[in-house]
Amino acid sequence: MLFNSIEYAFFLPIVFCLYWFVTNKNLSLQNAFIVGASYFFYGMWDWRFLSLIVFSTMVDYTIGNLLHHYKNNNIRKALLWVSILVNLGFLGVFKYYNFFVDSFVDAFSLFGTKPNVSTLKILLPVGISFYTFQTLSYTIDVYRNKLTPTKNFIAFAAFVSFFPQLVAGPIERATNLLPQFLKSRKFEHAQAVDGLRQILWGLVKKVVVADNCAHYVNIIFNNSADYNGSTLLLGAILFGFQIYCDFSGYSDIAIGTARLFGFKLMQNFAFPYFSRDIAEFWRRWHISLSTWFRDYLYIPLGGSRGSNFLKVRNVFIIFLVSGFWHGANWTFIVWGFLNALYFLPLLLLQKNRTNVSTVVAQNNWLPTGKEAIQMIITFSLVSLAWVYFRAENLLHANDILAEIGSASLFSIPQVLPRLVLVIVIVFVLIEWFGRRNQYAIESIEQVLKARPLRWAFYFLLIFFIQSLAGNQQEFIYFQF
Amino acid sequence: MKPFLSKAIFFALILSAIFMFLGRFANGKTDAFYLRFTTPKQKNLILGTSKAAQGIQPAILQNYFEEPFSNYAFNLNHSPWGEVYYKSIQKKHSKQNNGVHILAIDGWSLSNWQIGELSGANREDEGPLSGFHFVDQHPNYYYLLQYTTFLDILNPPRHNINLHEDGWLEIYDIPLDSVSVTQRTTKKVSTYSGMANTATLSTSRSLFLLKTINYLKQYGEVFLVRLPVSEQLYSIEQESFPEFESMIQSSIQASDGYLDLSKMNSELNYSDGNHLTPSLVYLSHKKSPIGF
Repeated sequence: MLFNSIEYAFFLPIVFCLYWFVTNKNLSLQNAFIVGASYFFYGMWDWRFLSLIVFSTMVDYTIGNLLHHYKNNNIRKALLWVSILVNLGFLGVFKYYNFFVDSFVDAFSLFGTKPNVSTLKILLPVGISFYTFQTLSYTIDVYRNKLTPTKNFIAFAAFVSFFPQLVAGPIERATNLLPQFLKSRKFEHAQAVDGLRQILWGLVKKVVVADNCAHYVNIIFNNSADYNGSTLLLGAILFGFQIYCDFSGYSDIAIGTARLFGFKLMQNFAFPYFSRDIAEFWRRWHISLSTWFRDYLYIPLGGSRGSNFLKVRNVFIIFLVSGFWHGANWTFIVWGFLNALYFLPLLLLQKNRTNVSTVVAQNNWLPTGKEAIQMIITFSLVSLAWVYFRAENLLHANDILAEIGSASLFSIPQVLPRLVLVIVIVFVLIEWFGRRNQYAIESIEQVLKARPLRWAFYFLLIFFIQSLAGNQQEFIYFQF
Repeated sequence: MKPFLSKAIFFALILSAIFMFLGRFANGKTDAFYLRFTTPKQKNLILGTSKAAQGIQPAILQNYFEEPFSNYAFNLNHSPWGEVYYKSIQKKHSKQNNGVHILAIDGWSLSNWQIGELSGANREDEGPLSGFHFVDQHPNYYYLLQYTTFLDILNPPRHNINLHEDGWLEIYDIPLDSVSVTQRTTKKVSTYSGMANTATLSTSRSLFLLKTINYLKQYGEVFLVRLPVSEQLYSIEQESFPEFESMIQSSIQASDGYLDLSKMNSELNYSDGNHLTPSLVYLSHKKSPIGF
């Protein structure tokens, strides 16, 4: 069920009441209830793939305890590889099998032969890219002795399947989330109110901004041959907002929902479009995934230590793998490649950590001229790369970029969605003024101190959600 | 917990009250489907796609049969013959005996052409009829929440449609001069020509048409009708589905009569080559032998 569906609007309060009023006296019962509710939630997508989650849970639970039991390094390494192969094996078969087969056939046909290899008619299990990485982080951390494996199977199953973040993240670390299942949760009023507020803001992003942008993005990209450069650029920019609001909106709803149940999930997006350079962008975009790759791939490869060759190699590996994680299509790989190209100069010139601890215009209302230019350049680079992310194939993306790069860029756009542009501008302003928070309207209580005013603001947001709802689009990242 | 719950419930109650109040203003201009889901279950049904939704006026049939009719036809994307429409009809039907049911059929409503349909999905699976249980609630808050917005209710987006309570979709205030009609027809021909490239008649849809007929026959009479369209669209349909007539034979035999009004294609006028102009809906009823 989608977060912005009527079914979820009934599911959430029922689960909330049962969680806090019926199962709260017993931690095991409460965790078991979370497992049941999460399996029900996932089963509403496709019950056939529940077996994958259960199997993955059982494998990694067992391997975690075996890793703790055995002290021999070779055995421990072998166990770790079993976990990696099982988890990535599922991912490989369900997500990448057909891609490899098709690419293999295409490569061979360049030599004049076309091997007869069948592709599989496989459905992609929702959320597989997320929960496999989540369970992998558990076994890797246990292997590294960063985490003691749990003997509490129910708590572990709840960690793997926790419904707010099961299908599209944030990809939680076992070191953060698992301990929360091993201790009693206490209801905190402020946390719950904050959670509801974050859910509301997530819905605004998803329903009002993302779905409305999606309508025009689809028109422009699906008929790109009919449009001039300025229209295609507009489409790319709108897609940038669509994917940001879609994904970060979902994360907000996930984090807000978790708060209602007394859990703290990690921040997944930190206003990435206000980044002053690409390195900062990648510290603020899909934080759970980028830090996962940093900790489990980039640093073990050597990170930014070593020779320039190693640095370049590691950066390309990370971004190409990240691109590939997003989908079984060469467009995602090229998208990753482009971002690697953007990132490398900063790394090699050692300018990739210049904006680490501050937010743009930290103590000011407005950015300086330099900061504004930096943000515009960063956003432009990111938007051009998004063309590959959205396009159907490389040819499609190249054609679009060629047209953007032509003189028709200076023509009047053929599609001018005024309402959507107003929505985007208002949204950017709200995000700008809330950029120092976890999410834009987190500190609304400091701005609107009186409760009637705050409630009026919430009603207004709900009115906008209901009035400006675009055609319902599935969360983009569900296809991953 | 108590303060949180009491505030949350109070907030939800205010929201619900606002929504329930606004919902009462939803009407035939809110969208092209809503009112069909607000009327009670029906004994006599008119079924099919938009040609039937716009082309068959229940009030005319009511004059003849002296019983109310309900037009439960939608459009080619939402109510082609198939499992979704079949189940929805079952929910809308009142199960009263001695009913009269008019089913509009044509090649398009029995075919698939979208890419997803080639691998088993149906184009109507994501539409409002699919899995929709509440087909007779007034106001129908579930439908309003799911498929409309506050603005649709307060400021309906399209001002030239009016869905009547009997389900007839009236299109008004559109230019019907020859230039406008030709432009719309040209666009329609282009659309259907594109669809024709991949369209194929579906055995599954044909089977569900038969199932629908057999189901409705338990409760009365069932008549099939092929509504007229412009000659251009008719020839596209004939070229695309040469086996249409043979495919519907079993359905014709199961029904109580089949009226092929395509013989009148060139005698009637259309707003876009596909839908009869409103002023001629009554005329076609007058011209066609009612006792079919």
